[in-house]
Amino acid sequence: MNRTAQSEMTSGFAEIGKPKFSDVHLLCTGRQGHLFLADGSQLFDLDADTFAKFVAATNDEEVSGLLTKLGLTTEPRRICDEAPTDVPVRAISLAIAQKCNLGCTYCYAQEGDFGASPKNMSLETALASIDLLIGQTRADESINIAFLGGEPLINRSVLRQATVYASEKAAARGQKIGFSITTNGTLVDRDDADFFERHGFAVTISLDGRAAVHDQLRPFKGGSGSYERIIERIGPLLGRAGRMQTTARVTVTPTNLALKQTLDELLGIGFHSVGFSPMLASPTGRGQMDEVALQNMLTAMIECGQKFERKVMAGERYAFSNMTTALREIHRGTHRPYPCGAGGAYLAVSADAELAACHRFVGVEAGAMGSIGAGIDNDRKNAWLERRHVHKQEPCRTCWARYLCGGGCHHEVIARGRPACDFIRGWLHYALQAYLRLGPEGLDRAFGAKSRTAS
Amino acid sequence: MSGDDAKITPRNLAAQLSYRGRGNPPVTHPSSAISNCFPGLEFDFRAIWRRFLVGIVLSENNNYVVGYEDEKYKDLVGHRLLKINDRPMSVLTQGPVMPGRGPATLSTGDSPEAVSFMEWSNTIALLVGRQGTKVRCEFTKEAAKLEVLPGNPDVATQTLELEVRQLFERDEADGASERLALLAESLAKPGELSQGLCSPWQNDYRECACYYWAASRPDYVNVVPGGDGLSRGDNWMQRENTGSYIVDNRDFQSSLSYDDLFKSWESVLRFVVGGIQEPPPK
Repeated sequence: MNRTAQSEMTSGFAEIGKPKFSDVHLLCTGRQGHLFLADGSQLFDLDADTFAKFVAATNDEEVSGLLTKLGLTTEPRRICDEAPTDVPVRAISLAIAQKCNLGCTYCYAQEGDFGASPKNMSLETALASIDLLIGQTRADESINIAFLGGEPLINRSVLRQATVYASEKAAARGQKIGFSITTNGTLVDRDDADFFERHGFAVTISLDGRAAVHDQLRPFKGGSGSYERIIERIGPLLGRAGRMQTTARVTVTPTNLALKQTLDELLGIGFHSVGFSPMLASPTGRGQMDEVALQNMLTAMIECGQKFERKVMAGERYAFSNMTTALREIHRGTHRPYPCGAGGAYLAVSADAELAACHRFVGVEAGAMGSIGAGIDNDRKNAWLERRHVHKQEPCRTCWARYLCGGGCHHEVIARGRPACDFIRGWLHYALQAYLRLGPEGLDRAFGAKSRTAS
Repeated sequence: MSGDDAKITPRNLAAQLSYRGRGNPPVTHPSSAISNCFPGLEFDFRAIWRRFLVGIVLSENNNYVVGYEDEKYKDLVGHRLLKINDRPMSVLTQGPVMPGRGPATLSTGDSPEAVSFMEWSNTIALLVGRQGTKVRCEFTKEAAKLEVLPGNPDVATQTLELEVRQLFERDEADGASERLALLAESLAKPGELSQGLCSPWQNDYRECACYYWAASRPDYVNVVPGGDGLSRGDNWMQRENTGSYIVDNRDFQSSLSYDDLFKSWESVLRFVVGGIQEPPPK
């Protein structure tokens, strides 16, 4: 497909995703009409006449009448207006080092220190945080600990001691525990690979593209490029194919929009999967995506998606994680009133033992949730969940994609509003179509399920 | 084409789970289904629970230890499994709340303390990720013929580590171990999967009288509205259609017995056409 046709198609996607009705979204694959029902994220094929009736509908009331005739309305709705209260915490992140050796232009943590003096988390705080998490949960509930920063490997010793402590404590009560780390990759050593493997870490490396592009966005504090160093350092991680997995996360700014090349290159290096995330709100405004950039990103995402579809149908693995995530969520019909667990089942701990709604709210009053010393502030947590419910968000309340999207990253929305709605809906519109096109056989391949029977 | 002829096909799992085929009542949704402590029709899938923990044999519908596979657990026979990994296997059973009264406990002859064993299938759902690993099992210290409430401070307990059995066979071919869609041979001895299958659904006609069979036929029939705003009709288990509902007290004088259902369900159960069970009441 040439570039012009491609961008026309994408502009169509952004346009076609715009909400016409609050409860349904209509889409086609070829000549087949489909209906996506927001309530419960259900997806149907419709016969031509029924589809035409929905297309001809002009308002929500008419749509509601049509849904009732098809037996697709349920009362009460699956997601009610009431926010959950006293949600137990199942996952925490530890800002194990609020300092960083990189000086990324767009960093939400303002080059790692969150606008305060750089500091490491003490071992005492890390262990107390783990005690708090385990104390909140029953032995048959899985828990998760994420190490974030800044750059977490700056405080390697505490990271390791905390991991071993949590592992042993969970093992003693037969509890499942998962670990993850998001690192810039510059400080990884061979020994880390063994450690991560032993504890089954999900490792995410932040990489923004090929050397020239990456170095411009994610240089060392002194200004020199970090790409070469990272690739050299993470080699031992990529070689591991056991318990740990190493994925790449690409922050997309207006200057690194060549996603397909980036995807292919990073997969070529040996990452288990690669995912993209647009830079929607940076403290300085630098690197933020504008409308045109988001439009271009959507085009590029769909290019990657189309390659994913071709590869999957040819029986090849193509680990474009935005696509596999979207397909999984559509498949099971994920529907939720929040974009993530922040302020609910997930809290972040800052280096100085303060609790926050998530790792991005470290040191931000709006997301304060108590402290390790004083305990979780359940009143603030409940008020947060009440306030952040997607039914309370505009224009989400009447958007068909509200339960797939959840209203967008709280931190970005509070900082900048919702500039990416067309992008998100356009992507979901495409992903729904891809899901339908792949069909059961394609999905089996995409999810790596083998249908084996015993003989 | 009218709305009634509309053809829709559920595509994702969420849509398939919520989908109701035309003509099916709401109770056919999995979400409204009654979880069933009675066997299935093809094989008695309660057997999965019996040998769920390696070394002991449990009653197929209870936490009562009825046997052992491993000599070292011989003494557990007759004891009750109270908790697995701190999660209780039984709860206090409380009945319907009547206006103006608090909830009453529901005791039975087998359970004077009103303790009920929870659905084993839910327990398996919680532990299915633990196959092949050890879990902490709390048993009564002494034999306990009657149900025991977990956490009762008057009951002495003992805790042992038992392994959750691998439920499925594994294929070790191609250098990788892969779970097959085949129940593990060690899960059941020959015959165990079907030995509980004597007339399961004839029992169910009676046992599941709470509108369960209304998925295919109503159990309140011959219904006519009364002038007082109440309705009149027959219990489908009544021997005779009289137009006057007989509460099923299981004395089997005025209603069908288990024996009736085993011996001649084809003739004692009657067709319902347009809400009227044949022959209609005089």
